[in-house]
Amino acid sequence: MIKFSKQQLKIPKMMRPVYLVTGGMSEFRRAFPEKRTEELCVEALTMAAEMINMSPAELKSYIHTCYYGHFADHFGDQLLGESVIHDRLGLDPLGNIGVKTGGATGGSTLWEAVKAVASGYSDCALALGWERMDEVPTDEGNHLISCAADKDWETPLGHIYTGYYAVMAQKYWQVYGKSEDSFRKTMAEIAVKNRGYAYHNPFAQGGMKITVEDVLKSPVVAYPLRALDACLMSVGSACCIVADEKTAFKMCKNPLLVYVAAGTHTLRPADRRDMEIPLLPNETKNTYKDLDKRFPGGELYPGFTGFLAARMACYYAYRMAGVYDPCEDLDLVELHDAFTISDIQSYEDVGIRPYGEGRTYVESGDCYVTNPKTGKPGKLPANPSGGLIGCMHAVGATGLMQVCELMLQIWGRHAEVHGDAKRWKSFGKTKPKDWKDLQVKGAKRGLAISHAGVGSHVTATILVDPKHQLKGGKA
Amino acid sequence: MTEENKHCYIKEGKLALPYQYFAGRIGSKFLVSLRDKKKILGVKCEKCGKVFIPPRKTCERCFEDISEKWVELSNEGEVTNFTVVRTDDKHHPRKAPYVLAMIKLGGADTPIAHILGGVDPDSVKIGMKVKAVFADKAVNTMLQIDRFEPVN
Repeated sequence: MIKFSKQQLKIPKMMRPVYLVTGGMSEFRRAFPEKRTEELCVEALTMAAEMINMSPAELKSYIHTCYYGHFADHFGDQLLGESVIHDRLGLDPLGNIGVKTGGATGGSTLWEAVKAVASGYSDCALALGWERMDEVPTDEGNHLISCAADKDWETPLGHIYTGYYAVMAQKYWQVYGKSEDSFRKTMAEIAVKNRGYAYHNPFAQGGMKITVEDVLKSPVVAYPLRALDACLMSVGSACCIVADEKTAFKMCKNPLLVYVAAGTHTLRPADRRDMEIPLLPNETKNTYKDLDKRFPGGELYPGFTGFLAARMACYYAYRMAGVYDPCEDLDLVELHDAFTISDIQSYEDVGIRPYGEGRTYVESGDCYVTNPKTGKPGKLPANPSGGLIGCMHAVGATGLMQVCELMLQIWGRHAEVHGDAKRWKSFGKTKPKDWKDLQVKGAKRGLAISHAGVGSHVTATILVDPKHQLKGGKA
Repeated sequence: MTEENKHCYIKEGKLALPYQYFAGRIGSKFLVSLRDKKKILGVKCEKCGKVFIPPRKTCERCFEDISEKWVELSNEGEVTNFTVVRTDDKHHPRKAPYVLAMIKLGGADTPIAHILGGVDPDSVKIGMKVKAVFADKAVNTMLQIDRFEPVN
C-alpha cells in the first residue's frame, strides 16, 4: 500500500502568482504533407501574439526560457526536435528544454514553464508543444506510441493502448457499470457529444454528427471499446505563455491566474496495489465508507478502475487554487478523453462525482454546454472544444490546446475565435451554416486534465479569472 | 561467465521504424528545383535582408512570411570550414576518407554542410572555390546535390 508522509502531501507552493498571458494553436489534422512541423509551431505562436494584439517579434521579446513538449521523437528520425523548433522560432540562445511524459506531455510542459516563473527564475516563459504523427501509418503509430507501455511484461501482449484501456473498461463496468447495456450507451454518449462539439470548432480534426447507434455499430477494436470510443491521431501545435503579475499585466489586459500540479502512477494497468483513497477537499472518510457494499470490488482502490495520478494531481491543484467542490467552483473542464471509458473514470478521480458515480455526470446532462434534459446551461460543461475524441490528440500539444480553449472561454472570446468565418476559410474549411456558439456563459474558472499512458502521468491545470479568485487560493 | 549470470536470458529484438519524410511545400520546391533544374534556391526576407538556405516559410527574426520570396543562388561557393572523415561506417554516405565541408554559396548569407569530392583530402583549404555536382537520378534529399568539387 502507498502510504504518504506529511512531506509528500505538502501543498505545492509557488513563490509568486503566475498568470497565463496568452495562447495559440495551429489547425489540427491527421496529416499535413504540405507543412513542416516548424510551420505549425509558427502558426501557434503567431495566434498567441494576435490574441493580445502583439506582433510575434514583440511577444518573443518577453520570453526568457522555453519549454517544449514533444513526445514521439522516434517517429521521424529526429531526436532533439525541440532544438529544431527553437531555432526556427528564432529563440536561440535562450535556454530551452524538452519535456516528455507521454499523453500528458502538453500539461507537463506547462507545469515546467509555470514553475520557472513561480520560482522567479524567469518573468515570462513559453510552453509550446507539437506532434507529428502523419509520417507513419496509423498502425505503426499505435505500435510506436505504445512503446511507452511496460516493455518487460505488457507490450509483448499487444502494442496498442486500446487493448490496455479495454481491460480497464471491462473491470470498471463490472464494478460500477452494473447494467451493461445502459452503461455502454452512456459511454457512447460521450463520443457523440465530443464529436458534435468538434463540429463547431475550426481547429478540430474530427467533428462529426453521429448518434449513439453509430458508436455502438462502429468496429470493435478491443471489446468493449469500439473505433468511435477512441481519440484521434493528430498533427498540430499549441502554446501558452506564462508570466509573473507585473509582466503579465504589462503584456495584456486580462491575464488569468494559472495553477498546475502533477501526479503519477504505474505504467501498467495490471499489478496495482490497493490503498486508501486520497481525499479531495469536499470528501471525508464517510464518503467511501460503504463503497464495498454499493459497488463490490470498488473498495480495492485504485485497482484497474481509478487513475491515482489524476486524483493526486487534483489533490494538490484544488488546494493550491482553493477549489473545494469542482462542480460548484469551476465553470467548465477540458478532460483527457483518450477513450470514452477513461473519461468516465476521470470524472471520479477529479471529484466531479464520487467514486462509483461517474456515469451520472453524463446521464444527468451536467456535462453538456446546454443540458439536453432541461434545455438550461449544463452544470459543468466538459470539452466544448471536442476534446481528444473530437478535436485532436497531437500528443505534445494536447494539454496546451485544452488550456488555450479554457482561456478563450474565460475571456469570453470563444465565438470570436471559433465562429470566425475567415479562420474556417484559412484552414480550407467552410463555417457550417448551423454553427453553434459553445461559449460557457460567464465562465470564470476552468480545469484541464492532461493524462498519459493508462494513468502514468497526469497534470491538473486550473485557470482562474483574477477578479474571481476562490477563498483559500494561494496566489 | 559466472555461475550467477549463466542463466540470464538474452533475446534479440528489432524495432522497425518505417516512416515517410514530408518535405512540405517549401522544402519540396527547393528539392524539385535541385532535381529538375539543377538550380539552388533560397528565400529572402525583404525586411531584414537575410537569405535563407535551406529555405523556410517564416523569417525567425521578423516573422515575415517569406515563402514566395525565392532567390536563385550560385551553384558555386567557397569552403568556410571542413573536416576529413577517416572512419568507415555503414551509415556514412561515402567511403572514408571523405571531406565534410561548410560551403557558402554565392548570394547566401550562411554556409550549408555538404560533401566535397574530386579532391585529395589533404589539399583542401579554407577559401577554396567549389561548385555543385548534381546527382543523375532522383534522390529527393540534400544529396540531390551529389557533392561539391573544386572549380577547375
